[in-house]
Amino acid sequence: MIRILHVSDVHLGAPLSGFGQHAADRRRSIRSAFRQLPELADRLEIHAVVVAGDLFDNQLPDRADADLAREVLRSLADGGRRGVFVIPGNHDRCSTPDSPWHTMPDEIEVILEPRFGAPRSLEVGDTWLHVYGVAYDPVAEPDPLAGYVRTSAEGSHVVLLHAGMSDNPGWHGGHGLRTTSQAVAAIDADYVALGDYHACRLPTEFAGGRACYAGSFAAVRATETGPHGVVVVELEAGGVPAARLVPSSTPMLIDPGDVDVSDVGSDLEAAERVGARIAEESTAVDHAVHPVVRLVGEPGIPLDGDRIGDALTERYGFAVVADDTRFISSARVHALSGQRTVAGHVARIGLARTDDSADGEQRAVAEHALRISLRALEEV
Amino acid sequence: MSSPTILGIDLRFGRHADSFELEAEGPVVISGPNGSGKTTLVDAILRTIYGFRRRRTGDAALFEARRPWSGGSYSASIRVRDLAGDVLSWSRDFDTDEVCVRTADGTLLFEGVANPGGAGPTVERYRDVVRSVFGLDDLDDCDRTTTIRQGALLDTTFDGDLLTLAEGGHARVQAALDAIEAAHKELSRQPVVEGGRRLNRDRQLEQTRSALTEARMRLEEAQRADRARGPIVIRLSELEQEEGRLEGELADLEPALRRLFERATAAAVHEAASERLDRLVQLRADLESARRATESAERELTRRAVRGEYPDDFRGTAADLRSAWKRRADLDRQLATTRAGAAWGVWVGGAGAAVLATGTILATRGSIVGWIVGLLGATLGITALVREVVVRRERAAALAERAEIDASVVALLDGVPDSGTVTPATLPDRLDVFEQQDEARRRLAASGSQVGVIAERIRDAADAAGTPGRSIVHLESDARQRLIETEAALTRIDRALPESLPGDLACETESVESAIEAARVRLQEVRGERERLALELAGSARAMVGIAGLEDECELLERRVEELRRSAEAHRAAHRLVREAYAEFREQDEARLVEAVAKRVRLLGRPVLAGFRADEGLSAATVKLEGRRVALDSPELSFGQRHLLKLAIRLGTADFLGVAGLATPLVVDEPFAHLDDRNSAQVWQLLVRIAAERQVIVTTQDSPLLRRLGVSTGIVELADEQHERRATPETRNVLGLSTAEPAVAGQPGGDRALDGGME
Repeated sequence: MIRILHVSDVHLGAPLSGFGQHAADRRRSIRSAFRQLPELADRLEIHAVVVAGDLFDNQLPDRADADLAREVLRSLADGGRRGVFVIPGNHDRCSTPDSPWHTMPDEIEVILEPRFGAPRSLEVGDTWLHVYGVAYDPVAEPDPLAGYVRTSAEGSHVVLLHAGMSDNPGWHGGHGLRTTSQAVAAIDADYVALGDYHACRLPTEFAGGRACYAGSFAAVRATETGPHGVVVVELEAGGVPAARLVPSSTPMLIDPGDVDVSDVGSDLEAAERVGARIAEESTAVDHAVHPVVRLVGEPGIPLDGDRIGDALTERYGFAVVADDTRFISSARVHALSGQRTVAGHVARIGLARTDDSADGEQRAVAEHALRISLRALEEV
Repeated sequence: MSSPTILGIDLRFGRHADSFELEAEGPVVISGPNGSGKTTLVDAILRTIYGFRRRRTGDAALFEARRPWSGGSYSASIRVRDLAGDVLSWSRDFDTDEVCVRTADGTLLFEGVANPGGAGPTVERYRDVVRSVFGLDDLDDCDRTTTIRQGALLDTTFDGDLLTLAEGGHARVQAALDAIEAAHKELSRQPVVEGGRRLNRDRQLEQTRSALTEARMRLEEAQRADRARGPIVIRLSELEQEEGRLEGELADLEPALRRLFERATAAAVHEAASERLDRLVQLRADLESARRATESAERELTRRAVRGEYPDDFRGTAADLRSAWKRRADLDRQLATTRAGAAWGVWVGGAGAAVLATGTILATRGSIVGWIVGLLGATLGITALVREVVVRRERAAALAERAEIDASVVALLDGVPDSGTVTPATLPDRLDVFEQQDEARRRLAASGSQVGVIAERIRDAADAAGTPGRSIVHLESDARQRLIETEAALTRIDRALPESLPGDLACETESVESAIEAARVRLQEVRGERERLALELAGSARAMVGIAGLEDECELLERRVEELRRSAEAHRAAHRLVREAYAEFREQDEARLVEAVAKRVRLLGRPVLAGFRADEGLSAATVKLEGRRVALDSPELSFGQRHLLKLAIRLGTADFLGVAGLATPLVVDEPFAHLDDRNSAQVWQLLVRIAAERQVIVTTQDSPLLRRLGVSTGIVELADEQHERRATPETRNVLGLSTAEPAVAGQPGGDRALDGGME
């Protein structure tokens, strides 16, 4: 049996703009978690490590990140006793002469050709591991699977690919190399280690059960909720790969589902409600979490998502709050609209504007305007 | 309660030098006999907030009148709970007009001179603070509305000024608009109001848009660079293939050329070997020929030299002989001539002697002729004598020379075969023989030389072949062998030459050389172009660095711009919404004011007064008196009815202002004056109802009336001794008052109690 550590989309040096002021902390956290990979590989008795692209966030990463990658990959290679196979992805493509891929240590097998060629082979006990891969370059080769031919060599044949799939959940077109799960399932390989898509899709989600997206090593966008890390794959000759996700130690973005705050009386109370839900959801998580929540319901006050976010950020270090509450539908607004006060007039006109909105965007703006107005008047 | 509340006062003001707690659930009732300082206490509260306008005659007199009777500092401090629930400490030094307002946690809201008659930024700031807490910032406005001083009720007017006053009450509206505008200013530089002034500097939306534009430009540039890589990559691939093809061609052509060169070299060697063999063959033939010529010359020489061999220089000897012989003949002829001349001299000498003698004779005779003849004869004689001497000498010389010549002839003929027979006559024959011998000798020498030269050449050839001393036969044999070898090598190379070359290329050195040159030139061009394109590709690659990050950045910025745009739009819409709502609200001000007053008239005027209306304008308001509509100042109204009507107008106005945000505490000094118990009860019930919405402070000297009305809470009882009574249940118990709460309007039993209870 061959044990493989499937890593992808570490995005070292990513600006992580979506994390705002927490970005620097998160970058440090990702680096720290990445440093732990050699220890994990030793502990899990990994035979080979495959990196399916986007180890760096940029084609020309800063020196510290390049040095870190070299250090960790070299450490993973363990003096050549463990195979380390890497392909560049769309973020860290190797087309520039000064790309760090051209100066990787000898024991790291970096595949720089944009088309499939002969596999890199590694003897593992009494069997062999053959790794094929393509460096991301849709200009040189727009079809990521073109030219793949499995050799007749004995052993397990693994394909490394950094490409999007139109049937990935949340697919929105994307750029560059793309394929389909059907096309991937059709190729003659024992395991297809995929990169680019940031959510983990284990082999059980693919036809044939031989392809796998490891997902991003840690969430690099504030929308990437759920566990992220690396995939440990066990390959038996002629068998279906067994894969499991091992989460990285980077704080996980946790989505507790919609939180109904209809009955809360203040922003802080709403934040408490979210905190309670997070506590319920994160009991099985043994490291830090960051809430990513959607508030729903018809609260009697125009909640301020930013304030709730601030309160949660203070508690969790980082939080994302989508305020989808319908204050405008609340009984309070309707009661207010019956009053002959300025706020009453605001509520009445605001409701009328919302009803008269031509489309969803106008309606959203009208609702938001009503909230802003009533908050400013401090009438509710 | 949605109004500020005066919780207590600590004062040194007039007769008071004490503190009072003023918090109550219902109206605060300051009760006491005349002169107990009820009005002073109320005035102290108002003056602490609003101060004295000491330039006004009335205020100046009052300012002095309120100076503490006990002396000391002229000051007061109130505690106020504002609309947000914060408790403020509000103190004023009346002598200096220095005011200090701070929150319970010590935050200073205002500190400075707050002279109500003054102007300037400090006073304006103070007014802002007063307005934010109490709504009305001027005591005159309070006196026209929410402060009903004793005896001042009848001066109450009902006109449009009240509407103007309400405008100031909407500071919260303006504050809300300001807050929305401030928030919008954070978002966008666009004016929050259409047609307004745009801000100078970009704000979040514009900054993010600019960042997005820049990121898009960078992305487009990177995408262009990425797209531009396409043709380059394709061309590079073509060039790579062409380079491979050319390298393949060269890989075929260069060995072919090498073989052709080898063949040419082998051919040259073969040719040289052939030439060498020819040369050696020729040498051998020449050598033999030369040898034969030598032998022939030797035989000829032998044949020609049977009688001896003439010396080599015989031709010169012959010439010398001829010359000698010729000279000797000349000398012979000379000798013969000199013999004849000697005879002539003798004759002449004799003649001369004769002449001389004749002359001498003659001369002795003295004849000149003799002299002449004698001279002539002497001359002749001398001449003959001289000649004779000369001839003799010449003869001797000739003889000597002839002898020498003879000796030389002998010497010349030394070595000449048969020299004794050599004469001028035989000399030509001898010369012929000599010539024949000489010819034979020359031929012999020439052939000998030829043999030598050939032998030298053979030696050279042997040396050149590295086999010094080897004979011509062996050399020839060697050369023949070498020729065979080179022929074999040539055949071998010919066999090794490629059977086919690219295209229809002739298997010739020139063609292949030319093809190689062309291939090399093209290869250089291809490599040059590849290098240039590789550089261009590297440049493009650099230009597209971070393309994926830029895509993410653009996506993020697009979302952010959209969020900011919507937020800014929502803020503009909110600003418009508040403005429009406020305008709509204000449009209804007059009706609302009339309605508020009418409501109070209905409550207070029952059953006599009702139907308050202002159809013809506020100043022409009317009321129904027992079914008849009368003006507010109609003499048909009794003093008590007028009092009630004015009180209703004031309270209605206070309600109206309260809705407008001016929830200043309602202060009514002696509201029950001139009223009977029934009307007093109606007034009290109304005040209780109002106290649910805003603080109500009333004064009364009529303690029995309070008892009759059942008022038992919230009483601050003043006595001549200045005792303060706190409005607490404990105090109420001490005073033996009932703790029953008055009914509140709007709550179960409230209106019933008001309407029916007093009935």
